[in-house]
Amino acid sequence: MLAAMPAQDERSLLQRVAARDRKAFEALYHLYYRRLFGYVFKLTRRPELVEEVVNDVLLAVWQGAGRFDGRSRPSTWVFGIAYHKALKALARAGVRAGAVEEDRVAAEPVDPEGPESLMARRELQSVLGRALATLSPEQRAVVEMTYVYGCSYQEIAAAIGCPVNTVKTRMFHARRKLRDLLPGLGVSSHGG
Amino acid sequence: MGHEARGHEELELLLPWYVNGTLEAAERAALDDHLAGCPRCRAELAREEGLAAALRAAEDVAPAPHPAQLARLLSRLDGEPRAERPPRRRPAAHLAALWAGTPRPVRWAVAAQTLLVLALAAATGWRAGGADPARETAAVETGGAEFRTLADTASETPAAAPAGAARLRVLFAEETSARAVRAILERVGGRIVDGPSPLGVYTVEVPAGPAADPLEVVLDHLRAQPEVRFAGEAAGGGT
Repeated sequence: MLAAMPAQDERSLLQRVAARDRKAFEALYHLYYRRLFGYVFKLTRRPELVEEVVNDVLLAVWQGAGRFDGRSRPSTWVFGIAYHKALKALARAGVRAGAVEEDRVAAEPVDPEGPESLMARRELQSVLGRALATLSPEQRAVVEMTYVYGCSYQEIAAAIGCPVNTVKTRMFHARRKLRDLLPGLGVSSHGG
Repeated sequence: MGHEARGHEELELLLPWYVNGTLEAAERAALDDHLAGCPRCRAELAREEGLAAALRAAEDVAPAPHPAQLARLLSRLDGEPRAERPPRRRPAAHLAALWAGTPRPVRWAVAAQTLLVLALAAATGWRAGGADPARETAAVETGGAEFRTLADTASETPAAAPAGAARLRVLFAEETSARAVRAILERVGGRIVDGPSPLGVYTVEVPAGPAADPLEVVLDHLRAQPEVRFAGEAAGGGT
């Protein structure tokens, strides 16, 4: 999914954004909006925070495009910004970053009057959604970046600013937990 | 055997990136070797593949961006405190262009729908500035009979909206699926309270008040959808 556009094209788009090209920014906005929305939603699981965080991320991209050093894929850089903005928003909302939120599973805020989309609500209520809710936001970020956005562990480490071993062990703990909560996964998909 | 004992824990950590295909060649080869002799890791691999598939399948939570959001964000780029409204679509110009660009045999069908739109506009007090060639043409060609029918229909439904809500009338293109209608209304927090009328007009309740998107923004968003032929505030429904 991260490869929705060749990285080289995204690089030149970012260069144009750095040169204050608003059309390029609009293109980048459309390229990233849904991906960022999904990522931030999955990470925070707080529908009411998502839109603001996504806007903050895109604004930060506009302001910081000149600082993108081109060593990583542009998408990795953008998702790194999203990771930090999302954790900050959670902290502001009073959710302790890094906390494993077992107690939140039952009380997952599925507000029927909330501004979130119906699809987002459905996701929160699904078995998978509830299992993901037991992970910490940091663990969810690694799971998402790996399986939905196809990032290598080195890319994830660079994006969120932590050692590669932390990425691997975070993923490992997340897998353990999901394995216990979703015992049916993989039973039929592989014979051996 | 010794090779398996040496690498198991380290290699097990790498399985997710084996699944997503981002391991470097040497790591990948080491895991290939290990998997051949480790049933536990093979089972784990199957589970991880299942998890990856489930996560990707659930990846439709994100709505398309609301055009008003981009407009707001663009206005923030320069540090302006308030969003500019997206330019308001001029319905008369839109209809005239639609008419001019339509092949003749289709025009009669379009004329009928154009009348619905114009009648709704009249019923809801929505006025386009300047001359309206589409209106004149359509009225002449169909004799205006449907105009009255729709105007009557449109004003039949009681328009009283509860506090915190506003009522709109929305007409979708004929071929619009129920699913598309739901998706479009969902994005503005809309709820169908009546309709479709025999002519296909829905009465839709949307959130109103200080916490909600301004009605102008909601209407602009609806009008920007290709499936929406008309969207206007219901007459008498909380101005």
